[in-house]
Amino acid sequence: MGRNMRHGRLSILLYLAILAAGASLHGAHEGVQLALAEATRQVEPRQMAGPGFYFGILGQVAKPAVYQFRTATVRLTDLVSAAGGVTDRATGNARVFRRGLNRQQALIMPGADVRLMAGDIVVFDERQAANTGVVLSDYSPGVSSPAGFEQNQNAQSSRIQVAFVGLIERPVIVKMPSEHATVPKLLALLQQKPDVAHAVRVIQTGPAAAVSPETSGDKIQLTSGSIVVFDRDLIVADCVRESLPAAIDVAAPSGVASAPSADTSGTISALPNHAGAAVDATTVSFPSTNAVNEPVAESSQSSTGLSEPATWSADALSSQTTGGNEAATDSAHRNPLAVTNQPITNFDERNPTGISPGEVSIEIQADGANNAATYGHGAGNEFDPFPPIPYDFGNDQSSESAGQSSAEQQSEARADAMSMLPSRDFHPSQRATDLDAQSTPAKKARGKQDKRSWFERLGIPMDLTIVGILGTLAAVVALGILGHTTHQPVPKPVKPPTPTEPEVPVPVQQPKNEFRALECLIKNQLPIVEEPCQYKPNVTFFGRAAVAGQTRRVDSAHNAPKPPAPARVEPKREISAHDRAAIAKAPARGSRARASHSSPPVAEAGRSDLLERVLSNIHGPGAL
Amino acid sequence: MSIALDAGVRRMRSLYQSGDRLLGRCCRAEYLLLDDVEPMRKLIDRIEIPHARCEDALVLMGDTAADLAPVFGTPCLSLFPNGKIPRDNPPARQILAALIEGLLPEPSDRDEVCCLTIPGNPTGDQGTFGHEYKFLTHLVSLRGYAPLVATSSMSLVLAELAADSFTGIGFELGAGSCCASLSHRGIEIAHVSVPVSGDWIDTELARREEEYAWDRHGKRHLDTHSAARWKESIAGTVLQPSNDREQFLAELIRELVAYVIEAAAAEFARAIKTKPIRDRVPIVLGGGTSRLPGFAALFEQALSATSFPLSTGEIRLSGDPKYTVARGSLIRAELESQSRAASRSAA
Repeated sequence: MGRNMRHGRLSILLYLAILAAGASLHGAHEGVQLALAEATRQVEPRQMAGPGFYFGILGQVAKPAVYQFRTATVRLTDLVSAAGGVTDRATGNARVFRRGLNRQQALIMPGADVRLMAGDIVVFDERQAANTGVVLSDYSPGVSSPAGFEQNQNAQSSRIQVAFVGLIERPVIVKMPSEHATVPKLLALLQQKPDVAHAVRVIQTGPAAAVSPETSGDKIQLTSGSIVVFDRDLIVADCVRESLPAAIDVAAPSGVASAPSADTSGTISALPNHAGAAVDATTVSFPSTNAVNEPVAESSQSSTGLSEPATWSADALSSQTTGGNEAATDSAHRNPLAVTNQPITNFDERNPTGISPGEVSIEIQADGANNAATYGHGAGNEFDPFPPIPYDFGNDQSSESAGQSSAEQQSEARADAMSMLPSRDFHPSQRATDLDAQSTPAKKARGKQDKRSWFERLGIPMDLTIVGILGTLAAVVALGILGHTTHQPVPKPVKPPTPTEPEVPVPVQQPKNEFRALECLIKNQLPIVEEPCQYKPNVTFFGRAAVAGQTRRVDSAHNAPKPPAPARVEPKREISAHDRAAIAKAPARGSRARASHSSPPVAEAGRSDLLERVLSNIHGPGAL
Repeated sequence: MSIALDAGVRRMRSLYQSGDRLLGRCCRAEYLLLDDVEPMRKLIDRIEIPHARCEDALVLMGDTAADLAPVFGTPCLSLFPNGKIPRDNPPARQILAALIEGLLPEPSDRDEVCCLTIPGNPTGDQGTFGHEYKFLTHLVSLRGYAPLVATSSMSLVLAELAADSFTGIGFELGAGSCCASLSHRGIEIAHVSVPVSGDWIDTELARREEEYAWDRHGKRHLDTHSAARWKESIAGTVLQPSNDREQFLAELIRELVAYVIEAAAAEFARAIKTKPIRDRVPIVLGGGTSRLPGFAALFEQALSATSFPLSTGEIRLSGDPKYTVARGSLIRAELESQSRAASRSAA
């Protein structure tokens, strides 16, 4: 049986157990294969990521970016802590997108945490606005929006956060103007061929997923939190690799991450447009063929309301005009711990997300699977007991608080939301029931989904249930067989070693630098800078200098009066006959006849008198 | 950190790496003796000329001596007269030690390698046990470096023939000597040196034109500096001289080149009997004499007129006229340093 399990096949002996679990044989088979696929995939990020492991986080966090950890698996709290915590606009829903895995749902229970794998992208959804009931991420230019957000409609420069998967070997999170957030323009920006648009898929997260959870991204208007999946076989990303925002290196998985630099802002900042002009640090320009090459004005508040990367700290002044939430967000940009001072979200090191246990629902979604329509958050969702928008106050809420200020609305909305928070004995099904009672059509549709299994109501995936039952039965049967056939004691299970230190080998830098320096030296790539010699001043040498006949020095010991130097200049003579003879004979030295002699030229009398004369001066007569 | 010391007859240079650049120091290998009298002492103290003293004279060293020699009307004296370190001139030997100390910075580690070239590039026993070899290596050792002697022409090959796998011939025509090295994959398999070069040309030019200078005491001497300045400023090329003096210069150079090539041919012919080299070997030319206009073409003519034992390829000049030999020596020093470090780590 064990061999069959390793191969993903089931033994007929387990048929009764499968029936007892209330599942079909086909479902059990899929469950086993899913578990095996997940166990197999866990080693892949280590191979793909190289020296670091990348985790992306975007949405309602202080510093959305891609973070590089030293370990292949990190906790969600570590990632959120590295990202500076969540903002007060976060709903509490975190969606985890994992490459190659089917979507699963989990729930953070008190004392538990979610383990992320390398390459995961976590999206923290944005809470709906209390005063309008309109999802900000649904807003896009050209689409009629409620009157309460006219300022966003006027500001065409609102930017959204988008994650790229499959573009390079790690996820990429960028910030871009929403009016340009279409796949064709994105491909033009990334200097890709337009015909690869059919192979680009867009996973729109958040409440927008109810409209188009995942589809081909040819004509889709991207919204904030969208994940764009590229086909690595069709993308040539080497030309833009250097321009993409770098990952933020997090030294210790449990420590506080270092502040991101300007280059890690997640903003497409250095990509050249087709006209060859560089793009400024906060603006994304597109090819002039689309007539959208004009710079985009700064806006401190995005259309989605999502928090912006850290480079927006310069917009703190403008953000002060947008209300307390934006000020809190911007202060979080400047200092990740600034979020802790906000009255809404209390930062706690043990709970960096600022969300109470049991409040966060985690949805792990496959970016490459095409089953999001089935398992999405839209209508007809059969496996969504915990909707992604727990605080859906509706339009009636907004009408009641229409005359209130934005801060008051937020506080009141928060208070209402807190009143809906589950207590410690909160049961997920109770929460789902409460939320399903809301008036939105999507929630009403979910209200019809009570025909779920007991495991699903608990939030435990059916697949895991089947695997757990099968594993337990297999262990019991195996132990029973072993106990009857052999009397040997059952060996105690060996506790696997706990990973304590990162397994990334530390590169030896010094020899590499030495070899690099030698290579540059050989290739003559190092500039030479002259510096003055440093002599010791006022040195006294012993002994008397001998001039060796070159000149004669008259010093104090020989200061006898000398006749003055002759003031005349000797007449210039013509070239002597001796030199003329030497010149006349010299060209013969380069002739072929001359080359036939193997003896040195100085040995030839009458032809090398110049050299002979000098060499005899140096070495004495007949030296050579 | 490794360092290179190119001790030439006319100039001495050092080169070492600091970060992403190379730092070079250069000074003339000359000195100037001034009368140690009260007015002279007051003068050089008042205008703050760096100087030293010996028993009976004030000493100006290096570039200071060369710059101020016309001012004081006193000719500079070479630290390597006839390419040799003077044995009977104690102040000159101390001046040489002071200049080398100024060229070589303090070593940062023990046993740092200093690859140096010796004036005249002596070969054989003179290259290993000669007076210049012992004196200069001793000075480098006193400075705290581990000396490693290389020839100028081999350093030229290391600096310029990396693209040819360090296989080729280097001709270095300096001020005091000409030398040539045949290298095969970085190993010097033959070397030849002749003790005539640029200084000989300058002397002959000055003697032919009877260019003399008189010092302030009335002594006459050949003004080789003037001849050298004229030689470096000719407008034409040595292939097409425009007057008698340039014709004379061209013949001197042709004579010198033919002599060096024939000496190299004889030595290389013996060397390739034991280690045949069948490929075409490139030739790189270095040294101050090779910077004369038209020198490479003249060299090619002289080479084609000689039964050279090797099939030669491209003939090219070195890139940097000043620090090429020093850079090749630095490459040699770095290789030696890494080799020694690997040996220490293996032990």
